[in-house]
Amino acid sequence: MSPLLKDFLNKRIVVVTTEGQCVCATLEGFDKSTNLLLSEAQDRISGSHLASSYMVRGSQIVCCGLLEDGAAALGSEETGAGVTALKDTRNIVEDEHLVWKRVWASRKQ
Amino acid sequence: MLFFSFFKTLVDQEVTVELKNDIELKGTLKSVDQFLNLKLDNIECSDASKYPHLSSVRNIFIRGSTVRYVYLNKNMVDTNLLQDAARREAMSSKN
Repeated sequence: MSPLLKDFLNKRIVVVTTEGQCVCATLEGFDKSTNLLLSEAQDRISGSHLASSYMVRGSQIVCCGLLEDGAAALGSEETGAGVTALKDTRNIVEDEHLVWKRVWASRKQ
Repeated sequence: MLFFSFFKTLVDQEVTVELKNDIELKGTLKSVDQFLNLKLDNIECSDASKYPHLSSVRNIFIRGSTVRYVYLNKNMVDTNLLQDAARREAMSSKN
């Protein structure tokens, strides 16, 4: 078990995902592949409530930062505007269905 | 395991980590594990105005799979020694 996240247990953390999403939540648990169980998740930018319990798969995680005490959602200061969206780094092929469509068509010939 | 050991020797040194989502974080390397997940302390985002997401964050855990580069100071690494060790490990894993 990765002991690196142990210090963050039951604390408010910021989680950045490969989709470019930024979530603020309390870390309830984790495992060695960095799957995270979060609670009281809210969006970091807008501050809107996402879920009371939230599970993120390890492969989707970019980083987790320990939030310093008294830090509010960014939205309260900057209303989310002017904040650059984080880059999507998902490992996917765009329009993959088109590729498979062509593969399927060539098979039928 | 060579680079795991290598990063362990860099603990408490100042490094800059570039992530695949183009964020650059500078901080003190605090710990590393077998997946090369990193933990940095006192981080500073090189473009904080563009990415305020990590403002009011000092201590961060970075998943190893999302790291693009780790920038090191030249005097922190003995490249000849590292190259030697890498070759030796490659040789021993071949047999």
